[in-house]
Amino acid sequence: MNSSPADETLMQATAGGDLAAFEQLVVRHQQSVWRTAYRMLGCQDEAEDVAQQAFLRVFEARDRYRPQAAFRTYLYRIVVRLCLDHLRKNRPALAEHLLPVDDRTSAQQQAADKEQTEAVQQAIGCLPFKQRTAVVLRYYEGLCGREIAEAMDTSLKAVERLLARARETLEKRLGDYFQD
Amino acid sequence: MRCRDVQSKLDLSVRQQLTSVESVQMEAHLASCPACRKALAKLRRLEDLLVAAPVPPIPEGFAERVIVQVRAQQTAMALRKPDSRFPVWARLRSSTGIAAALAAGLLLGLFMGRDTWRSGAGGQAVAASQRTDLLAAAGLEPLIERGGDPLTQSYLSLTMAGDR
Ligand SMILES: [Zn+2]
Repeated sequence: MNSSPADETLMQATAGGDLAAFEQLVVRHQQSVWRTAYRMLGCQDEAEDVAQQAFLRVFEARDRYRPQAAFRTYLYRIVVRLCLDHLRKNRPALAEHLLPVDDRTSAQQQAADKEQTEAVQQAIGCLPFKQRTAVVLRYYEGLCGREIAEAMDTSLKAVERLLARARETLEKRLGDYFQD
Repeated sequence: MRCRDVQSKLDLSVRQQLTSVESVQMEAHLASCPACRKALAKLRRLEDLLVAAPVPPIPEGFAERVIVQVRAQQTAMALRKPDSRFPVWARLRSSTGIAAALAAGLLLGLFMGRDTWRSGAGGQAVAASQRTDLLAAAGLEPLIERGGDPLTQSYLSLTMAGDR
């Protein structure tokens, strides 16, 4: 079955007062919004707040939404902005760097995995905000360069530079895991 | 292709987004260049490491909570629109049953916090009626005016602006 309505159609229906259409959008995109917020913030409670706010923002903007960019990109853009706002408001000193490792995630891991997961999470958390965003959208959300540029409101060249710098930092910080 | 060009396109190669011509050139270069092969191996290793780190599952009932909040927000807006000379309590009573039920939901959410919504649906209904009694006894208006405001406003005031 390939008959499910496009995101853009559902957004139009939402603007027309169809809450069920909005619900479909939430169900369809909740996983990516959650993943992105969690990767950006490293904390489940904060990620849930931001993910909820993101959908409420989409709902509030339902009348103004114009399908210029893909809905998905539009949604990522909102999530990323909200993550930045959230970090600035709640962890001003840490807005650019470092996020905590969520113990509840770690508790679910086996000991060996846990160490590696923590190292990865910490390495991502140490990246400046823009680099972290590019990494999250590239590696966890599978966006291509052009889509990342759209979501980050920047150029493709800038995204490539961000990713290159991020990879350099990550390789250094995760050096132990590169030896085979 | 020179090493510089190859290395700038390694990520595209990993994602199989090169044109067929580029792909052939890339393969040819890699076959004869250990440095670029090493760079490719590092890129793949990094991706493996990143992808292996799991994300916890989305909290249960997430979508439901979003919808509840959207409804609550709509109700709050609807209650604010009519003639403000009349108290909210009067407006609430004069509005439809659905609006009243939604308002009860809003109040319940404000009163008990979002964890309420993690409990079963049946329990919610009972809790809702008990809470509404409590709220009615305490006077609904202040709760709606003070409670509704920050909830709605905080979402509305979240700004898209801000440099990145
Ligand atoms: Zn080379």
